[in-house]
Amino acid sequence: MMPTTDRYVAAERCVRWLAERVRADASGSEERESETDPRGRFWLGRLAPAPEIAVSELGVRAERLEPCAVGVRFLVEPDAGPPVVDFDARFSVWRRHERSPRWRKTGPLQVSARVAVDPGADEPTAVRRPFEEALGAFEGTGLAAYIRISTTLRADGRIEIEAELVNDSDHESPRVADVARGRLFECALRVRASRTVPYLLESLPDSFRYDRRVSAWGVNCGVRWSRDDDGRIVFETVDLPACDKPRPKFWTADDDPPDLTFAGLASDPVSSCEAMLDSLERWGRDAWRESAFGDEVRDWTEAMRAEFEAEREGFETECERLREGIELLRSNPRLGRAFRLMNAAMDHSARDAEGRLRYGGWRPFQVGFLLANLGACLGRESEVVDIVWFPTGGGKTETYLGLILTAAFLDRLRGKTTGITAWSRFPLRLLSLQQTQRFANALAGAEIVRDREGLGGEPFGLGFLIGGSSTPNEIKDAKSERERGEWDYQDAAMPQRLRTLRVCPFCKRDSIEMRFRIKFWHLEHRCTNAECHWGPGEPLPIHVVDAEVWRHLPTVVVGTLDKAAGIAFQANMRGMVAAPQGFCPVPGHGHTYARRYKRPHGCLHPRCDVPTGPLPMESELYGVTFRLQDELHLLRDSLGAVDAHYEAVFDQLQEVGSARRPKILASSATLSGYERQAEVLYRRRARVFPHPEPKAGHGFWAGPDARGMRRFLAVAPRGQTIEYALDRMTVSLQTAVRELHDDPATVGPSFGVHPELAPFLVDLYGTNVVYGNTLRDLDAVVRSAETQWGDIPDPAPNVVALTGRTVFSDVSDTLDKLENPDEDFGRRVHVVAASSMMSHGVDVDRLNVMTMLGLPLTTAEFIQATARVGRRWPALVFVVHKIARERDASVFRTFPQYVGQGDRFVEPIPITGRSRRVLERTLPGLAFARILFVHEPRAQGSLWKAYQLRRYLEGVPGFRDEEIEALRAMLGYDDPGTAVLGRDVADWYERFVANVGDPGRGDEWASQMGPGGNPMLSLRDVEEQVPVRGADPT
Amino acid sequence: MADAPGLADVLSRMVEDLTDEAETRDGVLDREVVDVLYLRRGIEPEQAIAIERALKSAGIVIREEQPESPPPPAMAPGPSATALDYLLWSAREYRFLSHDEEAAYGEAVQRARLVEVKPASERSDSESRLLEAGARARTRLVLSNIRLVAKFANDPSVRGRLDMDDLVQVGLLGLMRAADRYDPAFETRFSTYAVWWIRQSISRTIDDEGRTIRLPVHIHERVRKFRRASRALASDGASRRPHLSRVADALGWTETDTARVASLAEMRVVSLDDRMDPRGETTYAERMEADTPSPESVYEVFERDERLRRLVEGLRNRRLRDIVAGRFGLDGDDALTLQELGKRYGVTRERIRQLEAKALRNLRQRAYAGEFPPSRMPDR
Repeated sequence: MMPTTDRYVAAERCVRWLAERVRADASGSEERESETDPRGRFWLGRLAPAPEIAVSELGVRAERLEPCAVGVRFLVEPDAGPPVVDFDARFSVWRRHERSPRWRKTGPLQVSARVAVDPGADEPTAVRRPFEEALGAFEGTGLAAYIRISTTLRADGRIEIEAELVNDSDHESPRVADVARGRLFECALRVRASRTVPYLLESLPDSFRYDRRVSAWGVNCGVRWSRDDDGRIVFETVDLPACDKPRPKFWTADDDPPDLTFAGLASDPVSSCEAMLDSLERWGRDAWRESAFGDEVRDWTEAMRAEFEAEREGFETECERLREGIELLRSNPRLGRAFRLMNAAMDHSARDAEGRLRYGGWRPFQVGFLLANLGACLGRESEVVDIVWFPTGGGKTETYLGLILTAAFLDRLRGKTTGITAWSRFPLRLLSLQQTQRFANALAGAEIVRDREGLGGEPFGLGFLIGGSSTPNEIKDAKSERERGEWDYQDAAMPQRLRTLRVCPFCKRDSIEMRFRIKFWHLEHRCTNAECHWGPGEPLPIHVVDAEVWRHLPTVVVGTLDKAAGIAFQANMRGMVAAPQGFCPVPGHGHTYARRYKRPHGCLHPRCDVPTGPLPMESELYGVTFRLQDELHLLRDSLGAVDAHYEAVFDQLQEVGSARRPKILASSATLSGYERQAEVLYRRRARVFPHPEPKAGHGFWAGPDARGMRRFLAVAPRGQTIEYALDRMTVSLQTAVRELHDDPATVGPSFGVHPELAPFLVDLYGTNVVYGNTLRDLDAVVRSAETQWGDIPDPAPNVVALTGRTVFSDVSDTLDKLENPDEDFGRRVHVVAASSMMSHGVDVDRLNVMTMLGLPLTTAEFIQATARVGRRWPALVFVVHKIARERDASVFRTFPQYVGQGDRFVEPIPITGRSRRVLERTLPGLAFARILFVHEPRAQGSLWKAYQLRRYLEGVPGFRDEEIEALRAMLGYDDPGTAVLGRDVADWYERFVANVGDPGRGDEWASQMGPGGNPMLSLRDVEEQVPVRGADPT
Repeated sequence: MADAPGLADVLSRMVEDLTDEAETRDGVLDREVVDVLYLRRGIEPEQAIAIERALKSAGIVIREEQPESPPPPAMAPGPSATALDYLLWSAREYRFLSHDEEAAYGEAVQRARLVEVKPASERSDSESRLLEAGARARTRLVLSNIRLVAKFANDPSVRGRLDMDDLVQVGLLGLMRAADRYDPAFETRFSTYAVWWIRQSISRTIDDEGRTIRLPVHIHERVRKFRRASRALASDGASRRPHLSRVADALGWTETDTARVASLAEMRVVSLDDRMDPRGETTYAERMEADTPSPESVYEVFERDERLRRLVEGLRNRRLRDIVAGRFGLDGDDALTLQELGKRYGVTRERIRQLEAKALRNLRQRAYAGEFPPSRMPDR
């Protein structure tokens, strides 16, 4: 093999080399001698004596934990005579040296046999003779083996042949201790046969998308197949069943790709988009033909045919949407201009500090999504949820940023000079710095363009609504330090803790300085770079504190979903759905809201006492255009059910406040059951972009590239614990990388890579991710690092943990270390012990080796977690199976199919919209949101205190009936199936109004009057937590 | 990340922040706001002068504080009034404090304590002012909470155990102590915290001076008169302990009576741990009956250990024996971990665990087989 200098090829070779190293170390194939008993050392390729397994107390599990046979199962088409099958078995024997504790290996020993299989035989055939000859040198040790062949005649006339290499040694022989208690090592079986036919997996309506053929099944192992010189099929057992996933390429048509660069689309979007649509339609005419499926069509069931037809129509609808989008670009000059400006803005945001483009344009699917949803910028189709689903990763955030910016430009063009255009929600507290920076960069790009074009209005801004311990609701102005709390404006170090950007989004330099300005009561990100477009004069348009977001209503608000609960008690959230009360005439104070005791004029600057002024624009223009939901699949169970009710209240309030419902965009990693999920969550129809392709992995928007992306290997340790296997794998991987680092001139060419690429490969493959499903597993890894990895040559491995227990600052610290590794290899992070916390939003190109400790509970998590490696370069994923478990054992058997067709195994999202328990928890919040947003303006004053609400209700006798009606309409309780829930709503108001009217009640606050508790403070505050105490078993 | 701000930055920020403070507070800047900020940001006196010069040139005036003068006495309590009456009378001018006010005063006291540690000669003007503000805050905390002392002095559990004046006096000491130490970071109300100090102060005094064995009220009255007289006589400096006859004279009692009351007044309750004589080692407690194990049970334990030792010695494999001994510390050393033993034998800790399990299995079998009664097997 010629040493390559191509980086990608080198990386692919490195992946194979590392995998082979692990396999060789685990099976002992490179060893001739050993100091220790090979039984305690090697954990792949070995077979235990069948008689020992037969009497084991563990029963079936004993066979899985340490098998006594490997083999293959395959189908043969019947012929005139009995099928003739050739067998080659291979194994090695380790024997203890006499008078010394050393062990020496004999082998691999080869045994061949040709057998004419009798399809009608009742009893299995055993081929023993050649093994007796091969093991002649070990007479008296009890070692024995044979090939066992059994056949089954199937209903369709085909013959199923199962051939296994069985270790039949006598585990009670007196000298058995000298031959590793009868173990055979490096066992493998090769079978050659003619007229084999593949198995066909069962069909489901969507089966036409997938390859249902399986050429053979492995028994306790994987199977590799090939053809020999005579055209016969050769099946070989392999210790590590593998599945290779290719890297997707984003232009798959034969035509020349159209110009989808930002610069190109900024000048002439229509012709490129038309060219793309042409290619898509041409591709579709070809790919969505039944004849494209060849012979398979004959096996299709009725259901499959119907499904195929429906899906083809879906594809045509998608083309139609794209065509409409292009038509809009052409016919609506304002929208066309907004689209071009958006592309110019993206061009700015994609540049680094030196002005070089880091990426110059869109991927076709991104443009497709933008075109398909352009109508939404004009307020069309708000009754549909559009979901971006791009499993192969990359660019989802940019895609909807493109749409948001288009809408933002359009807003400025149609006179919306301030106010929020889009509210983007993440389900988790952890919003990575990478993501916030991406949002900020895009908005800064847009701001540069807005300024250049002289569009007027407020600068485009970005707000964060994170909450919890990450960002404050407000910076308090109180005399005592205690009341000012953690976010004390007098504390000079406080602003730094709220820094959300790494570099200035305008000039991309590390020039940000944090300040708190008492005069404007504003936490400022300032750019100190005098060359910056924005410059040091003014603070960047970034708002981190909730109250500042309400005051300034920045163009895009990014936050956590939890914040939605605030609608029930935060009158200032009005700016999200409708026009605020007014606008403070003092510069920098911004919008004003409901008057309160401490805010006599509604201005949120705590020291402001200037009467509020009029709004700067038409009140109908307030209210968001888009509500976005990232990682939609995480809105499930109780969180989903609760959020569904809050989504409904947001919709209704916006309808009341600005006479329209916003468009909902979402991104999801799971498509199973998305229609139902969207129906429950948003009471809207759902649509997915891109429409699923006719053959899985072979779409227009993404198809397989010749280059590999991830190599998955299934590991089932034999006769050792998975912890031991993990330790040894880590030792093998880290040792290999250290060898490459220390001696590139020898090691590099040994696997076909030029030595000069060694530092590059060490950088890519020097950090292993160990992904664990329980904290206990991960703790064990961290402990192992101290004691079990002593064989790794210096430098000793550095281990960090990324779990739910890791505190936020440590997380960003670790991510920083991973992204910007130390020059010195010894000071880098070598092993990351990560939990599911890592499976969202950690995008580090340097992570390319993962060891998964047991299968995660859901397939969705498996897909998400393994997507953390191989983002740019080929990656290696070891999936260590907890083989004693049924599910792991079943996945191990079908590993290539499980990985290759993983999307099919993703479980639908569990969610229910009709739970009385959920309604009971959300009702107070919904009711108070309406009181705050609908009734307070009518009352012209606060209704927050019980006596205020009592006085108000005395004057509004229809309150109860109006509210019951409104809530039922909001939640869609209008059919017999929801009658019970509708009654619950009525009962609640009945009691609430009675409580408020009861002069005997002494409660101070109106919110205490509702039966069943106060409004929820967080969407997660669903159940009473049960504290569980106990000693840490570790 | 940007570097830590330089000195010029810190000063210009101070000026900016103080200008902002003045602007947002109708152009008035209170001295206390300025001083507090100096302390928090570690501003040196020379820097403070520069800052204030800059503020002055920007036309911002710092308003110096007027110390709060105590409210004029409306009507003093009559001549028969007790110390408590007087205190309560003066305290009624001070309303209860809100939580925030308490916190603000508490912070002022704590700031003053920070400054206090510096020698007076090294204090800057602003620091001296903070010290004064602290003292005022402390006074205010005390005055607003005198009712607490009254409450505890009147508590049935302590009333009568000491002279009421004394109770009020020591309670007040506790309250002052609490005001000194109250830190708003405790997240409690001042009263919650002060109660502890007041109660502690009172009960300690009662322990020291009060009686554990209650006397009839009329005797108690006489004891009190006796003490007061002795104190009065002692205060003229003639002698620290006036002669009994002088006290008897002063009180107009017979000497016999006076001697009896004196013996009651000097009666002390003794702790079991007190030494019986000042130079000796023996305590009162040592004279009491002991509670040690009987010789029989000592023997039983000894015999059990002996059998266990024999059982372990009986392990044929020397390594297993050592592992068990090591794990349970049978050799009299500390019990070793799997890890430590693994290191000793050059195998993994898992291997040690397996060997230990094997050895214990063996021991258990032999124990069941009669070498050792099963109920005495170790738990592992």
